[in-house]
Amino acid sequence: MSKDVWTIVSIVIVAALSALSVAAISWGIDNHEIGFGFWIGSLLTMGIMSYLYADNPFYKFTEHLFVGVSASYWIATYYWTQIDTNLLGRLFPEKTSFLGMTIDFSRHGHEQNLWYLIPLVLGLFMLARLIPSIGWISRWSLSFVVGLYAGLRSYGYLQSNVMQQAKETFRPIIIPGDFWAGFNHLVLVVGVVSALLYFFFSKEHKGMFGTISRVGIFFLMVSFGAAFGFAVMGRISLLIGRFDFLIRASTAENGYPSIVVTVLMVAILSILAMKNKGKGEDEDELFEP
Amino acid sequence: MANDKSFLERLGDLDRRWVFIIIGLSVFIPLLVPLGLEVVTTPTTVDVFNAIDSLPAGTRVLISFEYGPSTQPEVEPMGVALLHHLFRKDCRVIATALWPDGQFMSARLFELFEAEYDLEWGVDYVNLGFRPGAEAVIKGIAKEFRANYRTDLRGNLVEDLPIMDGIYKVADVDFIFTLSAGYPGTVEWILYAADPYNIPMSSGVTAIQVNEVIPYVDAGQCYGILAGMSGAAEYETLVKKGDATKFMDAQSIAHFLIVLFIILGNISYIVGRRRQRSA
Amino acid sequence: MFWKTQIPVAIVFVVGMLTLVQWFIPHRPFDQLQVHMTQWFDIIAVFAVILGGLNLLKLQFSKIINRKKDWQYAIVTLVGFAVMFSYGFFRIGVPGEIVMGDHLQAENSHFRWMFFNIFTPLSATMFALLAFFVASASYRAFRIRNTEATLLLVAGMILMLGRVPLGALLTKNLPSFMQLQNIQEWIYLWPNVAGARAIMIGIGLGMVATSLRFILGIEKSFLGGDE
Repeated sequence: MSKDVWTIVSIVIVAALSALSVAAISWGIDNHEIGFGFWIGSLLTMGIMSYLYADNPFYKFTEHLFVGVSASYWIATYYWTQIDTNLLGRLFPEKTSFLGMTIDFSRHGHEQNLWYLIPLVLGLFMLARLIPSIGWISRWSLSFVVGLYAGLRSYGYLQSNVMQQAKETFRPIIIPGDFWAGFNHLVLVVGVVSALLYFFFSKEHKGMFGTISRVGIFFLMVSFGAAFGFAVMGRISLLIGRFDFLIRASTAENGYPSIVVTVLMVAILSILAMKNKGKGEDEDELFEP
Repeated sequence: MANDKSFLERLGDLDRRWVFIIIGLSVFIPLLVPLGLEVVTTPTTVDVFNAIDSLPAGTRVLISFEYGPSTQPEVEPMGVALLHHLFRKDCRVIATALWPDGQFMSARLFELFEAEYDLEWGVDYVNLGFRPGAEAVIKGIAKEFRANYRTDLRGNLVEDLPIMDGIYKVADVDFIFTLSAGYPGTVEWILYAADPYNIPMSSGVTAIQVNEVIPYVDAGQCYGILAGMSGAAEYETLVKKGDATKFMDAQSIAHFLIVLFIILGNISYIVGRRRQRSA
Repeated sequence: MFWKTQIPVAIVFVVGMLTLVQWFIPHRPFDQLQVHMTQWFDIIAVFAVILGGLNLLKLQFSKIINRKKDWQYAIVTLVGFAVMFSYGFFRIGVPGEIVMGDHLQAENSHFRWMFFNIFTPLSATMFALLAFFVASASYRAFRIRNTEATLLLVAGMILMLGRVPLGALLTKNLPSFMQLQNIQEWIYLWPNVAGARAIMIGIGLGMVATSLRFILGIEKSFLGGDE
């Protein structure tokens, strides 16, 4: 298909999606994943899943839609939960008129605090990054962010992640009547100390020091192994969630959306794959628009 | 050259799409045909259960929702079981969120519970919603709750809500529970609220976050931990309510297959290495 | 130089010190400064998100104007952005007397509908895809090349099997210390915690050192190369 056709198809699909969302609400269909939600959800889910076969127009479409929708979603939620309530609410706590417009942030219940002009100005400086000639002024805002982070983290990490952890590492290793509890404490202390010594790079890892740091590597590897096991568990859980959605969506009352969408998508991708066989240089991207 | 390879060696070169299909089926089939495997509880989950179970009626628990649709299958079942546990014990819940998605997740969860437990907004629970700023939010409310959270999610003034009576800083809540899927989440709540102000805290996290949080659990900075979907299923078993247990069959089969993949991949690797050496 | 370097370094120093000091002197005026400065931070964070959004628009427009690869899809991004933006900021699909701002969560608002029916499946599936890739990587990439790699894989496999019901079922007739769920629990709570704690302490020390370097103006990398 030519590029222009793809452009039109893309616009039509997005327009249809937005029209559907308007229609869904106008017709009183509630916000949960029913009816239209299942159809659109199935379409978008399978669109992204189709990437498993190869990069293709369905995936590209859904990926780009995701980026666009998320950006607006973030801006809107961030704006209404902080700028509207805590910034404008403090700058204009009473109903006022400005350039013929009525401004009313009184519902947030703040008292006026003009010190909040500072974050407003720093925030606007942040946006100056978009204009290269004055972009340097955003450094001021960034400095505020960096300074606050540094001040918060230097103490927080020292207290909870260093001191407290070190303190809880050294426990009795001989416990009368409970050999194994003492043994476990020994494992803990040997593991933490040897692994920390491994991170000490100012001395060459040789001789006794080298042996201890090697023991440390073993503990780190077990920890990475556990992290890997958990990573697998987490990813599989997310897949279970999606498949569960597709199964819940495939009911007769909704018109079997996930089944219909899957069959259609597989059919279209197969046709495209056959048409493009041998054309593509890259096997993983068969369907150039 | 490729033809010289044995079957076992060629197994290692299997197209990844076959692996995808096998994994897909291993998750899909047990969801359609459940096996009903029994969930065994682990000590860290039991610790969470005991911590919640020991809370007296009327306790005000702050639950922070730090997850979104991408991690919902793992964390939401924990939230469901936790809310059942808390509302059954007549505890009161104050919900916050450091993730924008968190307020959507919590809002929908509460809608499910409102009718079942006859809950009243502002009395039995309140959803304060999301505030941007990650740890800075925690640090701010640690000193003055109402400076940042002036209104709740429905636009009511916090000072008018009975559930918020006497809560001026985060240390005024009795217990913190975080439902966390990453940054900001459990770690930040420990660092900037639970630890410095000695507030008892517990958490349910995604599997991927477990190793980041487990040292705090061992050090007693966090009472137990619900680790991923299996943690959720274990907690549900103890609370006797929830949905994640039915997913553990799929999780079992998929884990089993991935272990099998690792073993097969390595057999293929060892056979190949031996052949190369002998050649 | 003064405006572009020295002022930012001074801001980091003042803000960093004020934040640090209030940990040790949690009284007026430092505690009040903490309350407001953290909120200033929150507000600036919102502008950072807005900057991200505007940057995205800039990139997408330039992609279309310069007819770069896949420019057609940039239109999808822009339309998606516009639709969600209009539901977020204009009174479109906001039911009844709901005030703007509260509409994000209001039942039957278009914004909420878009969250649950467009954003949710996209976001959830994007992450669910990783399950397939982690499986494929397990098969093709994890090789027992040496002792360290073997330890990693064995620990991972024991944990994967031991934390699911099937693992418990497979070994339930063996003595307690040989049952998979018990072996994994021991690995998880002792050697694993030891390794994870060493990493935590290491990162913690690094974080403290880096933070102090920022506050004291030794580290200026956040200013970028062009001074």
